[in-house]
Amino acid sequence: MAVCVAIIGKDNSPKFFACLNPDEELSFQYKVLSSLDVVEEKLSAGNKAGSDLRELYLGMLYSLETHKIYGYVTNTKIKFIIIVDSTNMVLRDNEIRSMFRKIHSEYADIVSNPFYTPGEQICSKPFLNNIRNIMTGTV
Amino acid sequence: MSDDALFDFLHSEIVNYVLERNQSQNKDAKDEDLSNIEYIGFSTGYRMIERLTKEMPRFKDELETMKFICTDFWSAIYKKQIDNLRTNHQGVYVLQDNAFKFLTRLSSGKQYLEVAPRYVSFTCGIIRGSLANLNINCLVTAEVQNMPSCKFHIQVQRT
Amino acid sequence: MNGTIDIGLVVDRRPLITCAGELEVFSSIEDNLAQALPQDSCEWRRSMGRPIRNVHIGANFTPYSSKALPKGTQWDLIRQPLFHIYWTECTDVDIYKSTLRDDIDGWLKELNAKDITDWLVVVVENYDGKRTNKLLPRTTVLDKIRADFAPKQGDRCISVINPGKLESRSADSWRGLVSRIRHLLLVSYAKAVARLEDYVRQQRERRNEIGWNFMQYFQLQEELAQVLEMLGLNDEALVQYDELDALLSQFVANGITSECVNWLGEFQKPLERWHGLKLGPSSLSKTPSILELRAYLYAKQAQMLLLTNKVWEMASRCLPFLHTCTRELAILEIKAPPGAVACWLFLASMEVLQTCDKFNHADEVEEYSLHTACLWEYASQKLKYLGDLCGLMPGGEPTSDQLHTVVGLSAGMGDNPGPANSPSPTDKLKSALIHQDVFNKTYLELAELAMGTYKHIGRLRSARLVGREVASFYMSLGQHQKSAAFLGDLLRTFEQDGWQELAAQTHLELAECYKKAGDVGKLIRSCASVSSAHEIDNIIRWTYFDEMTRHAESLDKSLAVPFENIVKIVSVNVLNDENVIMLDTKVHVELVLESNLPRELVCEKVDMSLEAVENKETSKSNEKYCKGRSLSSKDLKPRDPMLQRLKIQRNLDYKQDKQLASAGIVSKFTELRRKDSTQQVCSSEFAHALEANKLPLRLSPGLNVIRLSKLADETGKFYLGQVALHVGKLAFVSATLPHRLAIEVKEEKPTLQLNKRTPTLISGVEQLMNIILTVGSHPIDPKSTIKLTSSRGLSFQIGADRPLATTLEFEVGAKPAYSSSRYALRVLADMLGKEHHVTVAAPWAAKPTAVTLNFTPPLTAAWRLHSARHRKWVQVSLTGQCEQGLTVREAKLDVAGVCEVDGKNASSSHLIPNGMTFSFMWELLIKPGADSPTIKAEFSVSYKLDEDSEERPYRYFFDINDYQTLYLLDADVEPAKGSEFCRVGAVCQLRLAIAQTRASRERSLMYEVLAEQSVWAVCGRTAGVVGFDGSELERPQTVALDVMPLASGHLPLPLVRISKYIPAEAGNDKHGKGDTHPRLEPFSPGQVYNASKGKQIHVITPVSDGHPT
Repeated sequence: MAVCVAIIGKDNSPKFFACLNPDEELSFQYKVLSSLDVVEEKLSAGNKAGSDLRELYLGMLYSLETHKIYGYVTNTKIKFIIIVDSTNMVLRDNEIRSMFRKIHSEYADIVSNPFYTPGEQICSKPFLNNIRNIMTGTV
Repeated sequence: MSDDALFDFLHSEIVNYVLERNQSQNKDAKDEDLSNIEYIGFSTGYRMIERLTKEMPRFKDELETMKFICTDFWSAIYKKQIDNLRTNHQGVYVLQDNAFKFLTRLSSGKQYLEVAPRYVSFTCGIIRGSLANLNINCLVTAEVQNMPSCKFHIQVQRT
Repeated sequence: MNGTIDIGLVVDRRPLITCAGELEVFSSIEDNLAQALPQDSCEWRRSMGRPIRNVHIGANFTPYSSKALPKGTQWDLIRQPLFHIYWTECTDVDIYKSTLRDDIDGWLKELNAKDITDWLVVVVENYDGKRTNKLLPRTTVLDKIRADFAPKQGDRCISVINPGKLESRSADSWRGLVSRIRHLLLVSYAKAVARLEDYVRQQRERRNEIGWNFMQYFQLQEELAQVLEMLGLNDEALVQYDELDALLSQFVANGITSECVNWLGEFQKPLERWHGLKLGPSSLSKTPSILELRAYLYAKQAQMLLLTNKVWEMASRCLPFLHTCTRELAILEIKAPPGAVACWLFLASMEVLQTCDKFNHADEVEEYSLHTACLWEYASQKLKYLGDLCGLMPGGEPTSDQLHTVVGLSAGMGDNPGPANSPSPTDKLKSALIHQDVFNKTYLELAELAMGTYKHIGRLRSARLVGREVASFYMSLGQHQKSAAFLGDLLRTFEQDGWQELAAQTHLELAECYKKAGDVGKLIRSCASVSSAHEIDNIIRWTYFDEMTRHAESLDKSLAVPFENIVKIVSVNVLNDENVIMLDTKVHVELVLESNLPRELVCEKVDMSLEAVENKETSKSNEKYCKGRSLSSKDLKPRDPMLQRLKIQRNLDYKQDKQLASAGIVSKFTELRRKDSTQQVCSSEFAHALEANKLPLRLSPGLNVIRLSKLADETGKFYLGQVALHVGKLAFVSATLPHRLAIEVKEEKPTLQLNKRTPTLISGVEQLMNIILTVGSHPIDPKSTIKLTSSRGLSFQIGADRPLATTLEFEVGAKPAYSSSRYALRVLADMLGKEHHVTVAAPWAAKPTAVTLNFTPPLTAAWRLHSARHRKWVQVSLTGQCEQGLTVREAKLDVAGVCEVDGKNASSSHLIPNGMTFSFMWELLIKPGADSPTIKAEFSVSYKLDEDSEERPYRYFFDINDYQTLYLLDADVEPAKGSEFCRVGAVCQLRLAIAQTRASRERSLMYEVLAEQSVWAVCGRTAGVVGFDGSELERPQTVALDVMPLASGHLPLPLVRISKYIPAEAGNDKHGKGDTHPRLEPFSPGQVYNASKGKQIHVITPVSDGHPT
């Protein structure tokens, strides 16, 4: 169960932000912003290391006392960030990966929506609902 | 099978519709203005690439992206691969399709050569849009000498 | 040397070797041996397919004791003596046979009884000087021993020569001994290690059984780790510690409910000590707390990592480790005094950081900086927490409770003093907890280190976020400038990355900062930004809006605030119809602004600046010039260059033979423009500014349409610059428009035109022309005069009543701008000249201009002489040139009395319209045959334009010469003899009859037949000469010619012409040229009367043979 999901565009600005607890949203925004540094680091390290970073899934970006942050970057340089509560020991790597894949699916769907211009904020209600379902694991 | 025919017909109708609108809006028929068709392709390619690259691993470099365009991408849309890819490794790529889907039904030779550009404009847009979303800014043009073979020229704009 | 629990700091896990036999032999080389053993490495072959490692093995030596012999198969063999050496110096076989053999035998039997197979017998041979006995004995003691006790394992017996001496020969044998001992020792040790490993594994598998104790198991696996460490296999030792770590984590994580983990309960007592990690050699107390256990474990892992040169890994493991500890404390519900855990975490991170600092090779630093950055930040966070807890934050005094807490925390930290000039983390923390200034300094130091390290590794955003914490710290310190600096950096990062909500939050924080700092200007800017951020709550926005207006009212000097996100320009439109604006007209611009402020803003003034453009200015590359007259939102919104539309066109290539070679598409590529990230707020001149029409302007939230206008008082080209909204001394100023819209102001000067009213000007008749004065964009002085001067023969006048004059001056009078007025100018040109000039001098023109006027006469006349035999008529044709039409009257022909004239239609008056010709006819009454002197004829007629104008005379002079008829010519065509009619293709005769009527000087005439070639063919002569001597007047001479008609019908006769024939004259001539060939001279009209003009002959078609016609 993820507590926060963010979709960051090519220009590093947030296109979508969803938190289970709206009070925490501002503090999560700070955390997600700083995790972009790690994403950039991993992407540029991947270039040097060769086939190290063939996967779109980047793994855990960094951990805090109470939360862990995971990242995923698509080929179109869209970044997905998931924040998970540390006390949740049940969530395993594979489950995080599958969450990212589902988010990617949703994103691909909304990009194909002609009423959405890529680069803008995502305001679609169905999209929000789907992401919430993915976050709470009810998909 | 029926999917192919649908796509062919839809494409032809789009071309007709857009060109008709162009004619009614501005009468100069000196050299056909294909900007609108190309932009429809651009928008399509830009959006579609997200879905098509969902399962692919990360592209290491530009050449790998181009190879993807020639193989998986082309197969997904046109049910075949690009027959020949050439590059000068300086950002210019030439993709040659010897039996381009939208031209195979028109002729096989020089007949109707002058209308060929209409039918490749959309594809140029698709390529440009897809590459744009993959962070490769480029200019895509096409050249048809003998139908149904078509060459797509991709020139990457390095800023 | 035993396996009990409490051990000293550095555990000695070296294997034990017993020594039996002649111990004094051994003792002399014991030190050398002990030193030499671990010096070189030895190959260790492992079990279970593990790779071979090179290890260094040392040993402890102990005397042999049969009682202390362990069993060869016990699991803790590793702690027991596991290798046994028998030393002897015996060289004498006999002594061997007598005593040594039995001794060795007994020793071996004891070993075998305990299943020990790891032993060695060493025979030491000390030679002094040379061998006395040159002959080698047949068998040495060594051979004997070998033969007796180790027939199949020859390596169990070895001899060494002169071990104490350092000669070459003995060095070799010494090395041999050492390596043998090493090798065999390792073999036995390896077996022991394998046994230990098995045992450890066994014990681990029993972990879920009741009664299993983690601490006991811990010590066991630690022993294995220490063994591996001793062997130099630090990485494998690390593995053991890692396994312990994982095991502990798993236990804690899985919960404490089950019975099997009763030992976990031991850890659940409250925390009493938080001494930090104590990196470096450390020991574990008997009943450690979980923190102490964890600390110990981490210290060991760190040690192993440092030994394997992995400083960075130690650093990278620290933070997750600290997180784990915190979590485990929570899971185990361990009570701790407030701040204790934070102290421990702080000390732990500081110790790790201090350790890293010792390694300062550039590449090492690069590697570990990635991890130490987070640690610095973490340490600073913990320190801040403690500061809050203990009342150490600036701006406050610690309460007595807080002081009490500090005391408690300091006590629990223990003592860990560092060397003199570099305080240990414990010292630092204690000092910081007591002294507030030390606390501040320490906190800021840590934060700076964190920011610096983040920037070094390229994590700029993380650095900026640390800066945020520092900013709030500086705020409480009262150093608002520094705080604002950090917040400013933070804001820039947010804006660059497009995180609007965070940017808005930062604006809030900046506003607070500026408020405390008392910087009104910046405060107003921040308040404006906060109130226009949609991401912030409305109530907050209203509060800041009010604050902004309140401060704006109290400004004492003007302040410019850039638009940024507060107000946006949506579109700009020039409303004037024409592209070019006339001087002294108003320029109207419509501006649409979008206000993001939450409430209405009342602006006293709204300006838009105009910048003059110098000609030939090189255009700046980042400015775009708009061709049209309006900027819409499309132009003004920054657009993503990647998504733009391209212009694509079809391209057809033709080969040389006009065949299509290829068809393709090409793109007129418009350069991708980069998004302008910075908006330049340059100040442009507001001196020439467009001002809003309706003031004060109430700028309401959302879209506002504003009309601005200005009177154009300067010519030139101007660009629209910036928009400024004035509220008291506060002005919101926009950035310069990204696309430059140009306004051109021109002025029109007054012009004067002299226009004809009619297409042609007629001389001799008063004409009317128009002077058109067009006043341009500004009015001219009413008193200014226009002067006209005419050339000779031309007179004019303005106004109907005054007489015509040659110069004219008139006042312009009051004429408004853009008016044109017309003055009627009467002109009269005399008939003498055709071209006249009018010079116009006007005050606004530098020099006077000359206008050329062309006049044509009102009538033209032509005359013709007509003859009928001897009677003569003169026809004068008058053609009217005047558009209106002239009335002519009283035509007269004066022939100067030479003869009488009889006018046929002279007396009547006629109207001759334009272009029409009217002829007058007079008959000249002359005697036929009389002389014909030249008549100087004068034709005159009175003409006038219309009823009112004057009648003027028109005169036409001409001469009539040679008018008497001299010759009469008649021609006739007769058909060929025998035919009644002329036929086509048949020859006929043309008869010419020429008669002279008056004697003349000319004696000869030439006649020529000029026949139309398609109609007549002349056979034979076409010309001939006829002579007249003047004798027979009126008597014709005839000439006959053959002609043939070529067509049928009524054909006109061939034209005959007679000319004067002047025969060739030989000899002198007045002109000096000899005219040797004959000449023809034509006659004047009137001298020859051709009677056959107009005659026709009927020619019929020929009769064709055998064919009916």
